[in-house]
Amino acid sequence: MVEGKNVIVSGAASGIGAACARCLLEQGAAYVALADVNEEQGQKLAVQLQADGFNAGYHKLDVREESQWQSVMKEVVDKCGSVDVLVNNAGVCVLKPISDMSLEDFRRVNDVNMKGVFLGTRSAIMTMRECAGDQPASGSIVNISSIMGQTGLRGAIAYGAGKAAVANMSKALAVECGEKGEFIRINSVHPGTVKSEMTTTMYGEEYFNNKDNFAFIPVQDYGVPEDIGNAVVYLASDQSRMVTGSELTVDGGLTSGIGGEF
Amino acid sequence: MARLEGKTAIVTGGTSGIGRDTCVRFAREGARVLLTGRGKERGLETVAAVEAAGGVAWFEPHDVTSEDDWKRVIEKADDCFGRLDILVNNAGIFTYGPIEETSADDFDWMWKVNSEGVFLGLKYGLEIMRKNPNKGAIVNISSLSGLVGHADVMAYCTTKAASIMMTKVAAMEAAPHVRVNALAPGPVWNELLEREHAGQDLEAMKEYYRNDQPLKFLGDSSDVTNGVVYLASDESRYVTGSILRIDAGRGAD
Repeated sequence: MVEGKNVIVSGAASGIGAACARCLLEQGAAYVALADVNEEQGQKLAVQLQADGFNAGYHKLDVREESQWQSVMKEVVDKCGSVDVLVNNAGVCVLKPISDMSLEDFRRVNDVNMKGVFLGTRSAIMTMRECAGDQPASGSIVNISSIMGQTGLRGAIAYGAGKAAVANMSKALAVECGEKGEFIRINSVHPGTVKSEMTTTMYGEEYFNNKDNFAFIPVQDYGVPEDIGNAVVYLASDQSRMVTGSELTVDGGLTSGIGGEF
Repeated sequence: MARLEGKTAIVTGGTSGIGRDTCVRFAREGARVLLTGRGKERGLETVAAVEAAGGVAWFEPHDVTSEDDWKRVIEKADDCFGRLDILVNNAGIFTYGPIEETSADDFDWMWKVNSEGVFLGLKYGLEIMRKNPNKGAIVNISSLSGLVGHADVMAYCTTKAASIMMTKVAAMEAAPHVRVNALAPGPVWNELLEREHAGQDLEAMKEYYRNDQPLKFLGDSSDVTNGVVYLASDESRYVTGSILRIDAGRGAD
């Protein structure tokens, strides 16, 4: 579905990012840049994917640093000739009541989740424009937001604020790039409860072993990173060439309505 | 690899437009299709188009506003397949005009087809899909007009908003066995839009639609069927109650 495309995935070393990278490669991506702050884990995944016959490589990236984004863009353009797809996936999560949430916490979360997406998106759009030359620029940017960016969840003042910002930045840029006559599409994906390294660290392995913990979700189960990977493949591919400024929710029905018996 | 390999599907309004293209696409993705609609001749044309694509399809006459027709269509699906994996509630009608010029009968007819038709599809579709040991997927073809208001399009907007809300409620009731999602397309250029503008300068109309949205790209039925395939396939196994806009950014603007 994404044959020939050169892709950058931020936060690609683990969890949803790693699944996005693998799904995109399985669906024909020419190259996937595994951009991550964790060099050891990123290199390890690159070796695994290469052993499976895929064209992927590790790139050092702290999403908070504009110069590092520019380096990754340049590395991929030098190697492959273009950046066709960016998946802004890197994120951190801190859930705390407002009384315990310091400004420092708030900034720590949103330096990665909001500023990181802004910097990545900006670098990618500039790069897509450079690569296009005289032609209208084209490409697909997929921002991993969260259902916490659409609805209120206890403790998510910092995380929810950043994820809502990501969804609306996506829409604003979709309109801006479209009206400029470009074919750069920007969409957001909104996962619900997904078992990943991030959530396993937060809730513990035990939490995911007990199905009762997911009875509040209509499909009565948690999602897996590949569920997000499949959504990202659709939005990255030309199959969604008419989709921009859209929000795709992947949450097992959690935000479909309010729970409980009528 | 075929993305709907071995699946069985009902597509309403399979006689033209997005419905017909969905049937052909489903066949290419490995699904067998029972397509329904009001025009037998056009239905058989779709069957031939599916067969030409190497697929298998049946046609059954169907007025989606008739409860008896729905019962017969579901029985036919049971006869053809023995089970139902996918239902695409696609049948719909469109008219427009200022509120003062919209008669109660016009409104009623659109409500019957676009809203009650979806309700009956959910009602009878879920009944057979719950008996299927495989998990199922229902895709409702709603519209961007169900999410945002358009002047002079009151009846259509209202009925499409109803299908969006029915999608969300049905998703909650049908879980975990059946997933229910909706697509909200903006205008796509196909035979229906071409007929709508018969006698006008079609190239100028295409230009108008292209420029009337942020992304300067006018899609066709395939843009909708690409979304249908994603939502009908197991790739979206964790997606339910979701509304996916395929609208060149119109709804984001």
